Amino acid sequence: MTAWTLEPLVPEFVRQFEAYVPSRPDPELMALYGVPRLFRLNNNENPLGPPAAAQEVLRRFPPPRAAVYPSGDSFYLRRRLGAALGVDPEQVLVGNGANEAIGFVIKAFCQEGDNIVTADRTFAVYEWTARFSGIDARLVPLSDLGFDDEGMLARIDARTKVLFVCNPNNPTGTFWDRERLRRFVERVDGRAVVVVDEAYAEFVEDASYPDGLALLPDHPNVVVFRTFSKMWGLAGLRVGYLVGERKVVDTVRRTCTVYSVNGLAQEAALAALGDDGHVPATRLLVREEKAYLASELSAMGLTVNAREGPYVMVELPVSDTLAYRRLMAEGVMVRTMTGFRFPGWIRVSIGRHDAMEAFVGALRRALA
Amino acid sequence: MYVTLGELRVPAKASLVPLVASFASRGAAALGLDEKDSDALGIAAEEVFSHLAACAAPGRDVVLRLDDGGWRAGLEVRFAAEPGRVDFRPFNLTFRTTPEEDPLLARTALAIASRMVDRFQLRRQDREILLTLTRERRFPKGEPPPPEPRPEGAVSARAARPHEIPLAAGLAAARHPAGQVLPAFGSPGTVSAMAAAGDLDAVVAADAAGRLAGALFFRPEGDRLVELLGPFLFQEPAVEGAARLLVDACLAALGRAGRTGVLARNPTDAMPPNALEPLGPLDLRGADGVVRRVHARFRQLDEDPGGIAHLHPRLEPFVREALRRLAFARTFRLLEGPAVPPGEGTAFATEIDRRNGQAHLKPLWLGADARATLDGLLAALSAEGLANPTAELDLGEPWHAGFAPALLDAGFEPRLVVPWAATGDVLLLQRTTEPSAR
Repeated sequence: MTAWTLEPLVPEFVRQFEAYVPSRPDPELMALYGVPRLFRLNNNENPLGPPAAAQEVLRRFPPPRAAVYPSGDSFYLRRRLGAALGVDPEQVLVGNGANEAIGFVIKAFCQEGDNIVTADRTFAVYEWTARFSGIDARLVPLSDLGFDDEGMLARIDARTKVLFVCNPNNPTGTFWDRERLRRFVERVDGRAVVVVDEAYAEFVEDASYPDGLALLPDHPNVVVFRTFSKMWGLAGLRVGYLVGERKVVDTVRRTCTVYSVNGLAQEAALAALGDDGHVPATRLLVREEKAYLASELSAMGLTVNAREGPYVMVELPVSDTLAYRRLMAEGVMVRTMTGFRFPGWIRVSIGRHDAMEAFVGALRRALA
Repeated sequence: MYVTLGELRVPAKASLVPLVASFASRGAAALGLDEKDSDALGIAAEEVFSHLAACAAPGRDVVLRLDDGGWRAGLEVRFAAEPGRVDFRPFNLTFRTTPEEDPLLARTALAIASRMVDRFQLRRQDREILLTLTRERRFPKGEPPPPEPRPEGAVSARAARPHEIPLAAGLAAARHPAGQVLPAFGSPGTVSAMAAAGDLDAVVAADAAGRLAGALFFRPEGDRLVELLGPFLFQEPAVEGAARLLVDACLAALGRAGRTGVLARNPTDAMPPNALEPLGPLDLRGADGVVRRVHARFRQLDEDPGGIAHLHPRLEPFVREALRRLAFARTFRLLEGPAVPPGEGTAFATEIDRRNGQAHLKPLWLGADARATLDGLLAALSAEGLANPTAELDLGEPWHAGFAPALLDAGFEPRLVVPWAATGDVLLLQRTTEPSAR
């Protein structure tokens, strides 16, 4: 008997795609590297955690409620978001993290032969989701570390369905200001859906930073992504959402998985929105620690890119993957950037001061 | 990369040998191989299938798949071989059929088949044996290209355009020792066909007018790695910073390719320091037939998830030190109890690359006759002019550790550890019989 072969059953575009392997849980990593504690500075999480009100929801969640299905479409959370953002709740679609929303949009608008356009060095999930769905991802090189509007416009053709703009960009921290974003959307002129991913919007203090939602009345092809994973400290609960014009959102809703956002996550997100002190406190911490890092790393002779967002990029004189392993042996976990197409760079999430000091000390020893 | 042309599923019976031979030779001809090369693949298929019918897998269903690789034709022979239910000894290259009954009829069928092709690979994958016979198309050799004019103004690195790949290969072959380039680099037709098939790619450093300052080639190495060749710089003195641009562009191109690491067996002196981490020495035969000692380098492309290394105690110090130097965290599991199970049955999968004069051994099955089997194989390889064979132990496979005593006693030395080159890290050993030019 000849062994069964799986290959003929797997589409070519899936065969060519390698699965993403997430890092192991902390206890496993600490045992592997023989370290007593681990500073995770790789995922841009909020070092302050969720707002106090959300923490209270988590503490008081009645365990029997875990047996009950949540609201299938995050009813109350959408209502609250609608009020906060000044839009109809039906214009809001909540997903299991913004990653899920990326999948919803690609599924809703793309079919075989279509393409998406985004940057080559940005959040990888736009590109990955397109590719493992059999959709071509057209990647435009960054220009001065920022999204290249002219380059993206030049890549649009009749089969382009979605443009992804990460604003501010992860990992470079650059952003398009109000005028530039509006001009871009005008020149797209409705030929494709423009996704403006504002996952890090709440960290940006620059007055020229645009609110993508302001474009909606004039440009119904714009969809804005936001998340509770970054500023709101709920990454472990996975809540993200998109906002767009009603017709667009109704179309996306057809491809979305209902009941994908759990009840605890919905309640924590609702509570988080009511905390007025959380954003300024986080911004202050990020501002101070980013300045500390920039100063220490520059003193070590390293090139640092510290713009918007709760992270900085650092160029190293050794490979980023080697530095990663050496830093892990010191109990510090950073993000290597070869996967972002920045070989030799690492991205460091802003943490509390003890974590930043630990990172600086570990990096000194790793490069010695 | 291959495109499957056709598949034949037949039981391993002697009466079907002509069908199999015809499938291979006519299929190869349809792929554009000339008569001599098509016939050679047909004979190799005949030898292998006769061997399966006679002793290795009589009566079992065998799948033969003919693949078009553009610059080569590949015949894959696959069949189920559950460990414990199959005698693996007939898969040794030196295995002779019916030697006791009639020594005059004894044949080393697999060895004969290996001589008919450019590349002979035998491996055990899960619960199957896979034999791959590869015959390359012959392309005319090219004239060395004239020196490349010096770039003017700013130089940047980018993906090579199709016409630049054979040009850059020719420039590299003209300026660098044989051990640092592929034999195919002297043949523009082969290089173009390899590139078209996705088996070779390059980044180039060039000015706005397309004048090349250098190139760095890369190609898939197994399922997880990418091999780098270069960087090659085309002017003297070289354009400043070109090598770094090439390495960065190459790594950026591979950053989301789903590969674990890059391996440079014999990088040029232009490789920027710290770009890749040193692994250790290997003695490799170049296209000119000279054996040179080279120093392999490696770079991980992703964040290492950690892993387990299964080891024989005799190899523990070497492997621990090699992984410590590279800062790879591993959980070490030492082989406990007797290394060798009772009974005969040892088998090695042999890979032969005749173009490069290289032979490589992989564990297939371990028995008490490991050393004797190995000695026989080494003698046969030496007689074929395949000196300095390499062997590998997959540290992710616990049963591989038991092969260590036989390999070490036969003169193999541990040379380097390539992280994640197979199920786990791979320890590469080499038996040096030919002096190397250092």
